[in-house]
Amino acid sequence: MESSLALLGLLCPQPSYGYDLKHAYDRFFATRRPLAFGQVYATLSRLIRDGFIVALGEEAGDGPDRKRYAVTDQGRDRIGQWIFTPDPPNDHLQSNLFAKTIIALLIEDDAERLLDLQRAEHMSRMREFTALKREADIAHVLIYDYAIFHIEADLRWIDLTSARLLELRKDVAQR
Amino acid sequence: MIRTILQLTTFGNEQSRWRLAGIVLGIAVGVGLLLTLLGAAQGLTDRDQRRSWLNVNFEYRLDEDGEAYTLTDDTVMVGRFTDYVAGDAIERIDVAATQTTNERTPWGDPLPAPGTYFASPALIELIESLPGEQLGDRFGTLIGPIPDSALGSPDSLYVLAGVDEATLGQFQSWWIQPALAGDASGSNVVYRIVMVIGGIAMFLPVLLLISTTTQLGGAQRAERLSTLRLIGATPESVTRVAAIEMALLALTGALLGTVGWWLLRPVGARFVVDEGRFFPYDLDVSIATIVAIAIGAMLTTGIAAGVRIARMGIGPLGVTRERSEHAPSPLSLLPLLAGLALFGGVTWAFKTSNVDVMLLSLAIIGGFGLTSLGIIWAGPWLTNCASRLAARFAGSAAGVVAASRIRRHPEATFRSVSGLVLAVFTVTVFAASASSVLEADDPRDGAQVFPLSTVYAYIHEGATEADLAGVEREIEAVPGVLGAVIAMEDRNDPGSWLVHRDDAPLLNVRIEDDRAWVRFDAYNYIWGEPDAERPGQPGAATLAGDLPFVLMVATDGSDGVIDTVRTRLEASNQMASLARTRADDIDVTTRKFVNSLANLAYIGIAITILIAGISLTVATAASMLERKRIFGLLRLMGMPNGVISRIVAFEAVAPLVAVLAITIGLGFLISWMMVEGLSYSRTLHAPDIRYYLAILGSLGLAVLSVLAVTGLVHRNTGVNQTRFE
Amino acid sequence: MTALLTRETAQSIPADGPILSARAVVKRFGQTEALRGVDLDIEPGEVLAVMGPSGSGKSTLLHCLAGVLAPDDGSVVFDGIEISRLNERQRSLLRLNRLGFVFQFGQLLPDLTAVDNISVPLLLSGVRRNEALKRADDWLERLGLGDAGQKLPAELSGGQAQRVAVARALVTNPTVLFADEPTGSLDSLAAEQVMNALLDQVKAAGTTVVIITHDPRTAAYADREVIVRDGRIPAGNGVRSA
Repeated sequence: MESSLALLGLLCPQPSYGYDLKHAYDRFFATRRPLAFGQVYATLSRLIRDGFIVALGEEAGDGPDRKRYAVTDQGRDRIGQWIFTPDPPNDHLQSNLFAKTIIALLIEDDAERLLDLQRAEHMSRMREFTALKREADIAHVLIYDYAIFHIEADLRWIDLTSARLLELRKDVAQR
Repeated sequence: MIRTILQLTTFGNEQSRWRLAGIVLGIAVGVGLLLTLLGAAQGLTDRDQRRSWLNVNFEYRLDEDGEAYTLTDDTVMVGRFTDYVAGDAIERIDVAATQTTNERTPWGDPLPAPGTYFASPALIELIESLPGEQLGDRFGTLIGPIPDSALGSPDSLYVLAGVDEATLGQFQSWWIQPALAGDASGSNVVYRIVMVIGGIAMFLPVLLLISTTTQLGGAQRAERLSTLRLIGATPESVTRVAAIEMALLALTGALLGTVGWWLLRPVGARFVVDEGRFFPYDLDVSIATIVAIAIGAMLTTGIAAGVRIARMGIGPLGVTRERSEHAPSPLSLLPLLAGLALFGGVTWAFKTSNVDVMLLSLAIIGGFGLTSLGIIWAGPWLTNCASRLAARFAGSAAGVVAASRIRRHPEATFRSVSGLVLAVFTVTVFAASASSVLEADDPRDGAQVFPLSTVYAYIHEGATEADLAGVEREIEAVPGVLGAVIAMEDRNDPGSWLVHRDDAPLLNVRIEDDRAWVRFDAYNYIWGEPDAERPGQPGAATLAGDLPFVLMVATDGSDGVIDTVRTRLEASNQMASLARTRADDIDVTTRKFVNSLANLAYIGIAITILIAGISLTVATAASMLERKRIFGLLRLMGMPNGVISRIVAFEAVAPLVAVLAITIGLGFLISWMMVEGLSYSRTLHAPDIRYYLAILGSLGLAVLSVLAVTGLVHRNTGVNQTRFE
Repeated sequence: MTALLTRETAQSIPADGPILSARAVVKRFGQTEALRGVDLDIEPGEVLAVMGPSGSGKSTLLHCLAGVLAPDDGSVVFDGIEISRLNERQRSLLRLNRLGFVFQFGQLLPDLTAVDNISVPLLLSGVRRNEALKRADDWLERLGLGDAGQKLPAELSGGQAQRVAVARALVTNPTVLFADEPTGSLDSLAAEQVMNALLDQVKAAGTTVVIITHDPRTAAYADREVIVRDGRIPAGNGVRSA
């Protein structure tokens, strides 16, 4: 998962302090290892440099934790582009897709659509392998089987997530 | 545990409730039927006992030393007659006794004095409804009614008339016996045979109905039971559950059947059997018998159900028995052949030697039962043969589907029609046998027979010419009487009578030559076929000492006139017999008897056919609904609606057609053996209209049942039924 | 119009344009709306997978497309025929002669041998028994079931039974084959064999196929898939925008 895009996405619903941002991130994505503050501020400054966010006026004292950040139009476009671009089926798919879904729900965008797009991407790869497998010799059939079953696992996860969207949306809204 | 299982399996869903209703109803009908038949059998025995005093027996004429009895204070002189009024027969006993006799009537009253009589209530009613000269005057003065304890039926027409010794002595037949009593003869052996055969014929379809309904929803039930096995029920407890369930249902059915039988008893007593209706209490069955039947029903059905479930082998994962049936083998024809052989053997034995009547009737009943069972046994094999033939030639989808079904399940498909097949078999045997009696010609007028309107009585030997002239005058004075003729008996040829040529036309006697006295063969004129060609006899110029033998009275044929003539003749005291007509001599009583039997039998057959029709509908519906998913899918694939109807029709009709023709043939064969073999003069005729109605009714019910099942299957295989399976 | 319902014209597929097309199809069962305005085009020779969770309306959609159910609103056009305007008998005729069906299980007549089962649709449309059996035998060979012809369905494995069902569906040379969860009760290998056999035959004959499935591996045999969710097909999915 690209944590910089996730942080950018978390800023989309409303401007936020760096401190709150880190905690929001930890809540949603960092189930095992919290994000270090240093990493958060480094990422934020990189996002400012790329013009995706701006720092709003500094209040009550100095230091990075007292700054509020807001997303620029350019930043929003980047998030939209990220969310609705399906990832090629690979090992890192899950965390990335999960982040996208959460962000989409947070900014009240069409999370179902992004799942559909991802499913289509997976299906198209699976179709490709299935077609190849129909022509392949037995040894290669085994390899394609392996690939197909892995894609299927993703697809099943996508289907299940899709089925759980309603529940997930409620949960995200509560936090 | 067992209660839980019962709740789960017995009362679970709609189909299982139908099954329950079917079983209970089937058993109720069966028990009701059994009670009715037992009651009727008991009633016939009681009736025989009560009317036994009528069976005065000439063996009494000789005492222990082989000497003839004489009339003393301890003997009675009896004449046993059948009298007639308006075509009805009256059982009549004339009794003479000494003035100081110690004898009494069978019911304990003093014997009627000469000129007085006892009569049954039905006869008293009849006497009161007619002028005395038509009936009452024949007997004298009424003393009182014959009590029910001496009557066969409330409709019985009995009379016990007192006469003096001399008058009775003038009659051709009388005898002296030690008491006014007789043996309870097996006078209704035929009835008993028919009743037992009828009982078998009605009972088998009921058993088939019960077995059909028992198997309703069998697959689902097996599934539920196997689920119970999966969660820990032992095979024994499942078997026990099935047995207990069936026993409880049988008990319910038996109770229901008993109540129904009790309520319908008055209806049963209304049926005319043999000489009349039953007294209501005739049909009673003892409490012990009822309890025995209920327990018997519980035990047999319960054990049968348990054994069936045990043999199905319901395991935790389902039924172990294979789905297709074993192909039936031609060996299954054996019981049928054995039944036919038994019949043939009995007939042959009866033809060639004297056989005890009891043994004979047992053999007939056994032969019928064996043949009936044989048909059921052989049915699947015949059905299978037919389906193989049909499968080879079937060109339509419906034909192929149905033929394959029959081929895989010949027993089940045949079982569904077996009730109808049996009914048709029984009705054929019965109708063909009855035809031998029923189809005999009605007595009719014609050339060379006495007119039916002629009344005749034999003249007693001591009657003087003057006496006879007096009787003749008195008779001729009756309005409606055309003339009285005295016939002489030819001394040299006792079978021939002589009448004066002037009187011959009145009696329809053919004149052969111009001699004064016309001679004719009396036997032919009374019992011969009308219009038959017979050689004439030469007449006689004068009488050669021939004696007046019979007084013949030509009438206009109305009942009133004939009965008045009878009364005058009988009251004249100059006759040696009661007055008769030619119609009396033809066996009208037997025909009435067979007719009443036929009415009863056809009622039984109608019930049987109805039960069989229900059975067919239930079985066909069950076999179609078992496949409702696949039929639903086929309809979804575009199978036209008509195909289902054709499958139903084919599956129901093919086994019917396969076996029906054979069955009808067998029925005729058996009745031919019975009639040609067991009776002397009768032959088989075409059965009467009711037979064809019964056959048409059976086929009509089959058609109705196909239509009903078709409708049911259509509703159950609609898209909406199939979608959410 | 009746001529279009029979097999003789089955090959007269229009050169272009969808063979089967649904527009704004609505189907209600009592209070519930099973389909809420479905648009879908299916091209001739295309193999389409219809996916979606259970209860989404995929089976209802299949039944509407195949003329089993009449939609409450909207239209279904098959080969130029407006299906919703046909009566029950005409639709039965259409299904029998121009459409084929494969279901998840339990669709073979239990008392008929495999070859007899395959011959049933031919007999229904009036082919003589001998000819029907010959063609059924031929289809058994094609689906690799040469030695199973005389077996009863109970004696076949699940995969074999399903291939017999495929043979029965294809024996009338239908224009469109509908398969409702054809691999639903099969293991992976049997499913693969059934799908391979099915695809071999339809690709060779140019038959259009609609597969209803929730199994991605089965759907992957299709040329494309559409998803039905809550009685709808998401915009742009069912109909290619011009």
